[in-house]
Amino acid sequence: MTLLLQTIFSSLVNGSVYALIGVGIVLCYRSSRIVNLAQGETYMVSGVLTAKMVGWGDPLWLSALAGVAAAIVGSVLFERLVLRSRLDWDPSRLIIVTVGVAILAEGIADRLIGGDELSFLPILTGNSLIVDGAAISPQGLLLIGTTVTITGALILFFRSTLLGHAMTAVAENPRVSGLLGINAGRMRMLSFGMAGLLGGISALLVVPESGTGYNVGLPLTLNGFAAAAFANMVSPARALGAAMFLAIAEGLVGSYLNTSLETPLVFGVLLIAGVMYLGRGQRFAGAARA
Amino acid sequence: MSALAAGRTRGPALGLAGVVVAVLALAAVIALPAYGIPRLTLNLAADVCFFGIACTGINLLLGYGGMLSLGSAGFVGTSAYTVALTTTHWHWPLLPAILAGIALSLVLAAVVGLILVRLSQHYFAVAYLGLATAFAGLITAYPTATGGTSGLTTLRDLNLGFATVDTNFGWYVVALVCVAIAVAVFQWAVAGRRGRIFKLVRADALVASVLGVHTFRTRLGLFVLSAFFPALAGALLFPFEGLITPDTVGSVESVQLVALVIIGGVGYSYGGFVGALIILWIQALVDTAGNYSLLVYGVVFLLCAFYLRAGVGGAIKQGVETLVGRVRAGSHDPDLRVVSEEPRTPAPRSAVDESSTGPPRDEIAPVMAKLSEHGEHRARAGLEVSGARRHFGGVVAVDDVSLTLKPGTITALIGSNGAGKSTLVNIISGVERLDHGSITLAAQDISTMPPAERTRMGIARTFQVPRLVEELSVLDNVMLGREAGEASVWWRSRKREREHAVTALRRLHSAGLSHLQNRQVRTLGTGERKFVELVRALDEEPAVCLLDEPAVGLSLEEIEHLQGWIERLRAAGAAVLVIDHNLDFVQRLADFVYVMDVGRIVRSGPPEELLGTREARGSLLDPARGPA
Repeated sequence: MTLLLQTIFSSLVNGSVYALIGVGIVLCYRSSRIVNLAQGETYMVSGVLTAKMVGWGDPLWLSALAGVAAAIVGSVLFERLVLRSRLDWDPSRLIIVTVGVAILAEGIADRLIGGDELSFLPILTGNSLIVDGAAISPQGLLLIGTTVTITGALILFFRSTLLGHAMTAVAENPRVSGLLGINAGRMRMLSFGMAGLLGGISALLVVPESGTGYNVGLPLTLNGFAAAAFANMVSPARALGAAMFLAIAEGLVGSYLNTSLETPLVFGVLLIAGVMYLGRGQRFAGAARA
Repeated sequence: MSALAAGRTRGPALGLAGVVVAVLALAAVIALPAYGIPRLTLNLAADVCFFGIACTGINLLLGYGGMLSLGSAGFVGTSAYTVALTTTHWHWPLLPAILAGIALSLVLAAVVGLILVRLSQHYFAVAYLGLATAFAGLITAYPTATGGTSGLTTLRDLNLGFATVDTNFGWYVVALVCVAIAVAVFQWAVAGRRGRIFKLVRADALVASVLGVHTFRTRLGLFVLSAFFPALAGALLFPFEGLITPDTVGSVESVQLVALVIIGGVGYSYGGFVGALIILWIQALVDTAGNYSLLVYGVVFLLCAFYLRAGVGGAIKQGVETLVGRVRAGSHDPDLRVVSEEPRTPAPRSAVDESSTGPPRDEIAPVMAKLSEHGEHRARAGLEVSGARRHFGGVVAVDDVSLTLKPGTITALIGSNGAGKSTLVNIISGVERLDHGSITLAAQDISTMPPAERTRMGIARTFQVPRLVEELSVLDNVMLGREAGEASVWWRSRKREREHAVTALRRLHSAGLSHLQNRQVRTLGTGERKFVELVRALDEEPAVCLLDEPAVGLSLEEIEHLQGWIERLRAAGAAVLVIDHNLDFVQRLADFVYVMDVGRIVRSGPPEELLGTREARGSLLDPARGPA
């Protein structure tokens, strides 16, 4: 029972990270129809900067602010400079571009910090909560709570606010949205900024427990994408649920079988997700009408 | 190394001088390691070859299938580890081990492809990426067998039985042989009809299936074939490097392979090699300790992704073509006309040559007479729709519709937008399911027949918005009408292709479109596209022809020309259905008119009665009149 509970606790923490990255990918997709495989780099950039600043002696709150700000700015610049002028490109090419930016970010980080693994102190210290022998740290609880809250806020945002509707409209049809008075560019910038914020927050909460390095971006992105894929790329709620499900499944496989089998599992799950969405009538092979 | 894959508009043909130059250039490139360029050693060159081979698979899948391979390293790994395991644990000789490695990769590709190929773009890309990561994970999960993260090692020699290769030079020769194999397979896969069909499936799977292509099988076949290349590279990578680790075959490697292809040029058979040469060499030059290599990589990759859409290879090819063009132009006396090229007629005002008022009767007759060659069931084939019904959720798009298309007549279907006309045509051509009712063609029930079968039985259609393959030429698009459904994509006969080309050219000529034959469709206007689509439909020699708003977007002259074509179709015995909003056009043309509103046929009758007077037209949808 202890092992099971511990696995679940750790998985919920992992799942929160996947969820935040996954929801970030959903945000980018909702406003631009682009699959942003560089989303994990917001996590990396934020974590690395915060850790570096703490290492230079700056107070945690300042470093944290700087880290999150860097993630937001990076994300917004990415949309503005890299993606905006290329929106009419083929989706495959755009995925490649986002991957290219991810590689570039990794390359810069590799140059700056080398192969070091960096970390900093958690925001919430104190005794872990112990249930039946299984422990979960206050930071972990904060992370889970934050994730659920943010996801809930985003759901409300998209469903009930004008801004949320505007953002969705921009992805469907930027030109017509423009004619209706919505500034498509600003909407996209906003959503990419929000995605950057999510990456930054997840780094702030998770790096103290798992560390960060130049190459943590892509694997995280893969997991986040799996969660987003389950959500059909547009639903934050489903992305959260899928992320938790994935993390728990991975955790169970890791605890009871073999840690190296975790990724083959993710792969299997992705296939199932794909097959599930098969039956969702791909009429006219994706075109609007014949 | 001219890589003009079929389907591309035909470039300038190389004369003898051109071939000699190409061969010399190729030899110069192969001899690169001999020039003493820093870091460009035989070893690096062989590496470039193997990476390039793996990349060629990605190139094929992306360039012709539109599918992004973010996980090819998984197949490199399958093959490499198979060779490693069989030679290390079971002491197999190398050659059978290599064959086993390739075979196993192909089998894996077939199994995985069954699911993967069905996925839409995003899922496919990521699932494939997951494959490579999963593979690396599996390797590390069983370290006793696979050596775990440290991997497996061997002596760097290739014992072929009749010879042993263990020098750098020997390996380079082996690598070049493999490159030749890879390029040959690539060229074979995209030759002529095959390349056209792949591009069709990629551009518009719906039209592909309507024209008779088994889209799933085609894409699966392409996927498995594309796995051959990384498998070949992987099988030889193990003895070449003497080492295989999970890192070499994980997700990062896969993504880097894609980067190489993007840099080198997608769609060109040598793209992967150009990209591999550039990146591997730069990496060797800059800093093998690793600190800069990733950065340089990222920068070069992005620059190419942004600014060189066709990659370095494409830029080179365009450069060569421009150069060849200049040389040829410069070598002619400016007073003489360039007779080897197509005579350039000034672009006509309308889509069709105004000099032709319609295809000359004696030209059209032998072409149209073919309609009766294809068996009794095609000539004299009438189409009957009976009680057709189709709903989408709560919306009934087609409600108890019955109509008849008699051979040798033109039937018109008119109605306001949203009445269900296009849906009905989709149902008849098989693109939409029939919820209720039946369709019979020449007394055979085709209600559940897939679209490809219906096309083979003689139903052809055009679309409201012409659906053509943008990147192919007009001639290629028209040829697809006939050749797409002929046989599996892997079959090809040059003789048949020539025959098709001749027929297609003749049809284009009689439609007045031969001046457009080599133009890429993406450069055409609406009217031209409509006619090209019409010619493509006619290339199938149909018994039933469904034309969805053919006159929309055409000028008055073009409409007259269109009318002539449709009348000749009727004269040849086809059953034609025309949907249109232009009531004058319909009245001139039709033998019988159906009026559709909110999914039902509300009126029907001869055109003079329904459309003859303003009063009659005004009350077409008048409920008081009731169905005729």
